[in-house]
Amino acid sequence: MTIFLVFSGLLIVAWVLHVIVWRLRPPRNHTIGLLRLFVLVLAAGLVGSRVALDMGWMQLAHGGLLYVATMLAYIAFYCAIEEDSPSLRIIEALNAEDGTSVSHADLRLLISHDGFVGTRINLMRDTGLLVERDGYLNLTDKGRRFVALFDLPARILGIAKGG
Amino acid sequence: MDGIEIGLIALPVVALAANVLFHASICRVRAGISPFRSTFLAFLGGFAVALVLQIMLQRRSDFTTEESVGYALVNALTYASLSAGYFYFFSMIIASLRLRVCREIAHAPERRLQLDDLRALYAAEAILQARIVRLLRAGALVRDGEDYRPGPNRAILHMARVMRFLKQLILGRREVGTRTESGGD
Repeated sequence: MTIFLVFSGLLIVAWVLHVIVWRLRPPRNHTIGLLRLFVLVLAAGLVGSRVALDMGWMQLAHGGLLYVATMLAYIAFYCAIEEDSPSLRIIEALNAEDGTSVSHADLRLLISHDGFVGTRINLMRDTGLLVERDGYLNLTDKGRRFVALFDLPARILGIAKGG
Repeated sequence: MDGIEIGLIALPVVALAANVLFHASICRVRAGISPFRSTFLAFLGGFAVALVLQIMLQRRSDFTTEESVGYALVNALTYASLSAGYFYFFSMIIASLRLRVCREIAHAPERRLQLDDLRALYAAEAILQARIVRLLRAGALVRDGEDYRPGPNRAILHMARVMRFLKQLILGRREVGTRTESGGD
């Protein structure tokens, strides 16, 4: 029970710190910022648990796995918080006025601006997935690895891909 | 006791492996199954494996009731988190626009594309249509003549409200809606 209480507590502390920091002074790169903050809290928690609670290495490993798994899941989830999903926007628009129908043209207005693809491409350039040469967009090595990482499981699962 | 402790630490990872195997089998056997249903069924399969292993390991141990409950809670939460991570990964394969753009470039004749080519491929109308088809299939919206209205499945609406609340809490009111034109991944 100690492992559960200590590491759940650490996760709560990290999340509260994350909310406070993000409200006061959000980092430029949110994902890296989140990773740093959570790892910092974990490191302090591991040292504290070893010294103050005399936890064994096995217990620390067990708690560490819980913490890292939850941290990674939250970071993945945070990407959805950070940027609005068009699907969720459509659903919110439909439910804004109870029982009222919404036309296709109204829904089209929600995502009609050029930013949809343009913003993504800018982000991909910033993160090194794409590079522009002679007016053409080319994949970098990182971009090719990104495609390969998702293509293999898509083939194994036999599912339609992307977009 | 060390063997049992190592087993308990490895248990959520083994359960996740079972989850992924179940998922691959479900997708292969029942092509066209809803992504949410397939991931949920696979999650349950992995959870059953975790439950059996947890009971087997705890029977061999001399843990007190409190310790047993503690280990069960840690492993349940760890397995749920690992499964959530797998779910987000799977969602990216299905719905990521970034991944789709990379794939279009990778499969282009000269492995390069102009920005205008991509804009033509991903016009807002095509993106909207893809979302509408998915939401209709999920029962989150229904056709009403030429228009649309909310469907019987309210889960996505609840999810949207939770996301809106978290966005307001973490990013503050000023940030809400500022990135809406970029859409989700």
